[in-house]
Amino acid sequence: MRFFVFLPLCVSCILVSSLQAQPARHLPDEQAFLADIPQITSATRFTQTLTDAPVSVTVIDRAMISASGAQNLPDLFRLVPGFQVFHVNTNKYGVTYHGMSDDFPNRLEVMIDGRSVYMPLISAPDWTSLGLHLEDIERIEVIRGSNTATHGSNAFMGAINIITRIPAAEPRAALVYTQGSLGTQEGHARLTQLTPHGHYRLSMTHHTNEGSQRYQDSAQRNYLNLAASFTPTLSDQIDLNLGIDRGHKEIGSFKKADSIAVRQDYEADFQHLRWQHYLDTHNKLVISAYRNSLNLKEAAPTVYDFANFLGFTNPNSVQLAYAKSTAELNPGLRFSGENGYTRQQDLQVTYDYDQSNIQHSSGVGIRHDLGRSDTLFQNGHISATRYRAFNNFQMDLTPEWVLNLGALYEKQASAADAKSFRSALNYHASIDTTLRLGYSYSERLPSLAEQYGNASIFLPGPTGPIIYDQISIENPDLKAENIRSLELGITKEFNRIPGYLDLKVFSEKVNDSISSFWIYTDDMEDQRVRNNQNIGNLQNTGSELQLRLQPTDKLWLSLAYSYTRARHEKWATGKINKDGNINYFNRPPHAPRHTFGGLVNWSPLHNLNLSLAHYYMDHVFWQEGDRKRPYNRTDVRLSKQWDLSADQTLEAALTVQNIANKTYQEFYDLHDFERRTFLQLKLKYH
Amino acid sequence: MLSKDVAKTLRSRLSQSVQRLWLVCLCISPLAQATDIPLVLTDNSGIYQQFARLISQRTALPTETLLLNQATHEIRQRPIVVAIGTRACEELARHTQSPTRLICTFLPSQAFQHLIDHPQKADTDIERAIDAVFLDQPIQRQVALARLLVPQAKYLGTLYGESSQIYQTEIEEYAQQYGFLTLSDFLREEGNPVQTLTPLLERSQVFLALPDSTLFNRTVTKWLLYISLRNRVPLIGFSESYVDAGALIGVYSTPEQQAQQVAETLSAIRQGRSPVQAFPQYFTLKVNSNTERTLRMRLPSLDQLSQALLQEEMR
Repeated sequence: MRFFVFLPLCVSCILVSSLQAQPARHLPDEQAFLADIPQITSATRFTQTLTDAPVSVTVIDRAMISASGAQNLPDLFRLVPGFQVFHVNTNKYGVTYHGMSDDFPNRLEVMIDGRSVYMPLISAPDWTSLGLHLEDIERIEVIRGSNTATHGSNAFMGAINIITRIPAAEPRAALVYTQGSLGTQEGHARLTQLTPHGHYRLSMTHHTNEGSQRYQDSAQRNYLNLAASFTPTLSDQIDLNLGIDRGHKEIGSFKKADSIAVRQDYEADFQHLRWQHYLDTHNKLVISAYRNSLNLKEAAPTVYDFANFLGFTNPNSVQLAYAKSTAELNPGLRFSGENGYTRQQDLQVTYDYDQSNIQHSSGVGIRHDLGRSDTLFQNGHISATRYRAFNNFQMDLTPEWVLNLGALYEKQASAADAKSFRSALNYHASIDTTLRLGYSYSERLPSLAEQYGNASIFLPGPTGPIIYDQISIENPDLKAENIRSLELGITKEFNRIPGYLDLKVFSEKVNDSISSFWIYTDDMEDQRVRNNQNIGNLQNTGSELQLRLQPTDKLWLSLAYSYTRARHEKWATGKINKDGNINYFNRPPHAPRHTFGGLVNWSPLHNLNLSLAHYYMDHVFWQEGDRKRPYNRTDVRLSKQWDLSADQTLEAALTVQNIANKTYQEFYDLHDFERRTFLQLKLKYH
Repeated sequence: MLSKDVAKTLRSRLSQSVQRLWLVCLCISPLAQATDIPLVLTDNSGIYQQFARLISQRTALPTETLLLNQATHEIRQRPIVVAIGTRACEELARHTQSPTRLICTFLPSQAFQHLIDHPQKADTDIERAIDAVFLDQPIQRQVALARLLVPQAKYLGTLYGESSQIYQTEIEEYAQQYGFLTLSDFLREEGNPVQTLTPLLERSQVFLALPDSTLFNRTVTKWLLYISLRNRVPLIGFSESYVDAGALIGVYSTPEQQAQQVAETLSAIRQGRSPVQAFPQYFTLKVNSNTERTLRMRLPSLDQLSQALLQEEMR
């Protein structure tokens, strides 16, 4: 396998170095007139048209974001074929591709302007502490398929890159107020200013909601982000993004009617600096450095909580003393388990080469992850340093044939390594029809939580602490899991009606899947302890369809459909009994067979907009959640705009989600999604 | 030194091998005749191939499409040779001899101007020896369009780079003719585009984007689009993608229109016409309706604008 990883890396380096012998040109040529507007960058790191990309890509643009009526970021991914979105709690979400998930989907990379927000503490992104408002987003590029050859381990099943708006392209100021169901109130302000070197934007949000009626799983958030863009010379572009997000949310495992939500306070911040330098017309150097930090804080249980836990309903002083000793022995114990601090620091240097028929992006990066949690890592603080080298290469063999090769090597200091590669051949059968055949082999290194999670509950014993319940134990020998993906795609652009159809059939097989496993232990509580092992095997086959059409200037639609046949021999949990026999808890389906997301937008007048969205998801069993029945949901949105003056516009938008009011559940049986209504007012100063 | 030589040789051989592979992949007519007009492509990108096909479809004369590195001595001696793209023009201008007639097309006028200013053959008067059909629009057409868009405007803004500077005199002449005062600045490679563009766009009432080097276009275009929109200044772009990206209007020639003019040039040469370097005779206008709405403008129909421009050019 190592051969296949390094072959594309070497071949492309040699080819590029041979072709770079040509002198750089600073004179104008026909390229000035022929250059297209960049379409996507996330699949390979360099700019490509959708039809030249090695994998299927869906772009969610600003028009879709507005028309969808989405109130939170994850809701948008219902419009992407093969993606599933679920509310775990009112303010806790999961986004996954081809199912196989629990409440922390861990096989999808999520980035904001190339900055990974995948948190190794929870092995997933924390969607409610990103410090990002929907108004901050220009477009979202969603890579449907393994993209580790470009973005590393976390892009095991796919990748999302959220591209924020360029400050200069925005109105001078905007105020947005939203009020609606669940006691939602949100105020948002944004301001852009010109400096002598470039533009900056300040975006601030205050959000509160009261959560669901049954569990009152409320939230309050305050966040602020700053984006600045400088172009000191024609060859240099510097982008700076800073953000801070503070607040709290109530979370819980709502499997029972009397389940309680516990308050989790959080503090998150990030800093991201990116410098692009054009060495000449064809060569570019990009240096990117960022730091994310997230502190999740749940209050420690009181002595009375411990007493209750120990079964002392009306504790006397002796029982309280015992409960106090127990509390002292378990300073990290929390109800939710999502408690701790994590920090990521990343530095990457990328070299891009772009000529008319060759594009190439290669680079190296280093990432340091830190996890500090008395709850999750009782053996002490955990940190890991990972190094990576990557290369992505596109060559137009002929005007009809395009070859894409990509490879990435990751090495975690004193631990496992991972190798990934991808190849794709695109054939432009005609000016509007492209066929694509792609194959990839990808490996995902385990996250800190998966590898080093270690927690137990202790009780005071006559000779010292004794283990009451061993919850999880680490597995330092955990290896990378791997996936082999094969896809055949066709993209057809329409001439008479603007739009395109993208269809793909795929087969993917995951081996050595990192799976949560119960092994036998002789603790006092349940004689089992959770441990992650490379034991899962599963396979998905199916097809996906994406249709974008704009029949008239006033009407456009976007449809996403996915059919997935999910099979597994061993899935996420199993149990090794005392006698050594293994039982697997294979509860199918690990992915819904049919998913659909459709959005139609109609603007009968330039200041009036009406949109309709419909979503469907088939049966699925979410690990840690419940077996979910199929559901349909229809949302509508109506907006009207008024010109208040030459420089001011006001927009009012009414969104009704689940308009049919057929209450349904997305993750837990008792956590409802009922009809929700939101009114938004937006005032813009141009 | 030895290892450097070896690496250089290997690189050269590899480069040749890759080029040969492309040759095999190219669909070249096996029945090409020595009398066919060679259409020589700068490289094998789809856009050059498509342009060559369009020329073949529009001329009654037999043609043969080939890559620049396939242009053998025999090819270069044919009576008429068409160079598609700047690099093909540069190379063939260097290697063709009279009485061969070379037509350079699919290149901007500045590139051709550079060729004239820096001739590789001391004894050749390129202007008298080569026909050309440029990609860029005549300055008069662009300035006239600015006047039609904003009849009451007083200030016409432009930003020059090292390559587009050659337009300055002509722009000022036509600006005066159409009743504009020009506002312009010059941006070097080490210059800050935002600092340069912002004051310019704050005072301009209509702005003309000019094609320059790729680096200039890549960086300046982005800021020009943003700052012009923010200051509500109508921006005239020079390509379709410029309009798609946010310019109010674009004036440009499609490959079909360019190919038609090349086909007509071939006929004219057959009929004994002397070499002519021409700007596009046929052109297209395209409006970005979102930008039109944002700027709160109501433009005349594209037909009206086109007719008005043609009348201006015939005056």
